[in-house]
Amino acid sequence: MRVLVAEDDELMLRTIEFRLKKDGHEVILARDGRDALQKVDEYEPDLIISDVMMPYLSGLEIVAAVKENRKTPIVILSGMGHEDMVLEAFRLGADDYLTKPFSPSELSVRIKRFAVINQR
Amino acid sequence: MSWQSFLIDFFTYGLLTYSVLLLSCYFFFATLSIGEIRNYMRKNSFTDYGLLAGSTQAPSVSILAPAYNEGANITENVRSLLSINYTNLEVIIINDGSKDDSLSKLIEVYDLYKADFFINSQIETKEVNGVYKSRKEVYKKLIVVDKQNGGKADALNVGINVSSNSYIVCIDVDCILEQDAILKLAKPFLENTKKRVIATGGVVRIANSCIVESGRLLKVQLPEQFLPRVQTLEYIRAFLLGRMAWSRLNGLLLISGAFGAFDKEIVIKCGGYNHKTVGEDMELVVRMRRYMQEKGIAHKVSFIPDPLCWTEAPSTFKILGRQRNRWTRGTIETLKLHKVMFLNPKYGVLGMISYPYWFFFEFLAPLVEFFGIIAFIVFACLGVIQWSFFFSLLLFIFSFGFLYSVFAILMEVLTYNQYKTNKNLMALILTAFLEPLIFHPFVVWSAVKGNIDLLRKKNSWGEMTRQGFTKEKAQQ
Amino acid sequence: MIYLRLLLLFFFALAICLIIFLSFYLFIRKIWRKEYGNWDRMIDMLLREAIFFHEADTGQLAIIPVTQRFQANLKNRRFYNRFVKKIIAAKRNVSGQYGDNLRNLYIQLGLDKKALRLLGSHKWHLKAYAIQQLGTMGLKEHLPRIYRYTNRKNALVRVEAQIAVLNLIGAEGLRFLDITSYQITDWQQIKLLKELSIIPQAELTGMDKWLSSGNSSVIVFALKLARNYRRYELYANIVSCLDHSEPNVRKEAILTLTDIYVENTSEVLLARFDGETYENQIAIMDAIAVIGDVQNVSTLFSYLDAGKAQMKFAVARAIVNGSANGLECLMNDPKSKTYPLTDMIPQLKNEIKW
Repeated sequence: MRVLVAEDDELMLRTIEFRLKKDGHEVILARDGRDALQKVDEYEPDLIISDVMMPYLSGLEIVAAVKENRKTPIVILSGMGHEDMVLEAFRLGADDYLTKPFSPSELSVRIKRFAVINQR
Repeated sequence: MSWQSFLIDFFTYGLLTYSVLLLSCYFFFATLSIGEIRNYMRKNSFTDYGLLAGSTQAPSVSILAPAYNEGANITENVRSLLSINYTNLEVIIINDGSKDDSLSKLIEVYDLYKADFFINSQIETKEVNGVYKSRKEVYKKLIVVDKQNGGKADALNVGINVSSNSYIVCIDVDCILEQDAILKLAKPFLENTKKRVIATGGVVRIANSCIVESGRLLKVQLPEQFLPRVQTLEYIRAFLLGRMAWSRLNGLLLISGAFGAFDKEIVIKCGGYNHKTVGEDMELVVRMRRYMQEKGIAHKVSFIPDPLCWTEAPSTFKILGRQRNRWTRGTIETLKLHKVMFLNPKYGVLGMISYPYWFFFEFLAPLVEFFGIIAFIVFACLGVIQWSFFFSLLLFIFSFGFLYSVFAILMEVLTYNQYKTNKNLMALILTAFLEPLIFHPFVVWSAVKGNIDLLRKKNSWGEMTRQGFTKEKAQQ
Repeated sequence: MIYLRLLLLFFFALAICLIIFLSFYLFIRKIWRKEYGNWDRMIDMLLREAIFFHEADTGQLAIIPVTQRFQANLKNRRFYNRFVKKIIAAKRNVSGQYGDNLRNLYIQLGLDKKALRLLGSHKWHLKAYAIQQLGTMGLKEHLPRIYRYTNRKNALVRVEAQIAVLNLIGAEGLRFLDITSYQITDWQQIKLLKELSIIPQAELTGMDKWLSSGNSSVIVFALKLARNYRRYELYANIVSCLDHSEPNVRKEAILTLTDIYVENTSEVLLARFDGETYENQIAIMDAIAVIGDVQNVSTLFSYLDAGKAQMKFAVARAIVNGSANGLECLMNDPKSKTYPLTDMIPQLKNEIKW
């Protein structure tokens, strides 16, 4: 599966990339909202993982923008205490969420679900 | 001793004393400011603002942005405000009877409809035509108020009436706010236990020549034109070497008109902004402080040294002149309105330190300078004093001013370091050198004119023509 | 005059010195920036290796390979600060075994010892820095020492210690509320609540004691806790806070009741309306609007005669939302035909739709 990961914390970005690559996915990195949307158009990923709080464009705006004309599943990452934003994201069409601190192996398992759906 | 030589001695020594006092004050405030900034930066490293902005426990804030004929950029500016990372937030745009298409643009882009809205007019204002909200969920924080033209103060008062939150942040609509700005401004309100914080100010930086896209600041650059650049220097001096010191002494009288946060309850109790003065931002802070002092309630006006707000500075002498003229008239009007505080111990720091300082060193300074120089030239022409003495005095003031500016640049580099290259540094140094020759006399003259205009009872804002931010398309 | 000339020469000379220093400093910063780029790559790589470092379950401390160069760099203060900042952020972001790996790395590099040295410093910001590290890294063995700082005079040290204690032993750490003699500011409360929200299944005991504490900020904090964690059994304690001498405690109690209420809570609040401050009266009406369940809506109608529009609006809102037939009753009342209710009712109608 081709996965786009949007996260402004470099270490988190690399950690997620490492985990996904180990699972055999192709990973595209984006470090802020604008970059993410550009890469969505350019690479047309099968899944998007995005932090909910990023510079230039919030994760919510990304969800809104992507869901406007695509069906790409989106998983959002949020810090604890952002319940409001999580609910908002779901209202806008997000498919799943993970809160930090998170476990990379849990992320891996959740992603597998989308891989299965993607293959159908 | 003849009365002539007495007069001249009096004049000369008087001026000298004034200058020495002024310079000592600058020096004192500079040191105090630096200490405060260091303290702030240390404390700041322990706070993750991003995490806390999403908290539902964070205080509720309404951003009030009056707009008049801002059609060129208004949709982008509003987008930038709406993208602020803060949960309990309302963005209220007040259309102050714009003659252009500001309102229609907003209605179209944000899918607005006219809502049933009861306005609790706790402050009297001009009539409101309608309150608009968005049909789209993603813009639910936005409220647009359309009203009859009444000036910035009146528009802000309407915003206060409409707002439903506890704290208000008053900004110019074309200000670009940093992501954490709102939370950083709100923090002082939540921290003090013994004193009630009634207002907080933040640093305003100059956005000319910065790269801005869709209402967001992408890259900071030193302004290319001389006038905005010299104002950058001016702002650095004022904010880094001045405001923090006043905040520490709890004697702040002014929060930038472009950007400030207030406790709404106190603002309403004081009657809101005064629309009869052109210095409504300073006047409100002074009035709020006076109110708290008269009620005997311990209070504080805070200041955040982080750059939080970016705004466009005038780039032509004409507009700059109008701005400084207005600032002068505003200062004088405020000082007049509250003259009861002058050297009045009942008003504590405000009456004994802040007000006298503003009177002697902010209001009188341009006048003293202007008339002083004229007087000295006359004396020199008459042969009463030596030209060499006159020039030495001028050079003395110049050298201190230059040193002060260099010191300010040093502090900027050691703290926030927005301008990183050696080229920037040289540009700023050169600007510091040229400032007393080109910029400063003009500002002094504008201030003098301001005094004259006030005496003639001129009472308008003057039009601020907007150039729009320099839109350099970012590298793809 | 000579003094004038000497001074002006001095000023110029000083300015030139500062300019030279500035030039030099900017140059150094430029070099540092390049260095930071390299360092960040090095640190990120090590941290990522650490996070995914899986040794067989030997129960022993696994040794994570660290290059000599890295160890050498750690002696550099800037590198150390950068590394600590990143490892703390990383520890906050990953959980479980991954987080433990980071802790092991931290200890392996001897950073805990360094933090303990900093703890002994006189400077408050260094103390707080050390406490933050020890807390985030979860080094429970230093708990007693850190706990002593939870009641220190310096506010930053105090709040960092309180947060660290929560990190180390969870909600049980809130014991410091029993003895704290300083006020807990609203800001500190927000930070503490945020830390608590990360702890799963926070077990809070002793709340009834906090709700009757002599420190009013502790009561306010406890009320917020009661609300967040839905502690219905504390209802009686919360109601008794409505009689506290401080108005802000009472206000917080009113707010708490919007989440923790029983059948007659609206009546209980209304009973206290007359004796309250204006601000709290508005809070009571707002609370009633949320709770609903008003047995007799007509009792609220007398309050519509209030002078201020803000109060009228709050009462009208309470009537409309307070019971199922509230809006109807309001429309039937002759007052609804007069200003300002004529303007208020359309907005209130829209609010119900949501």
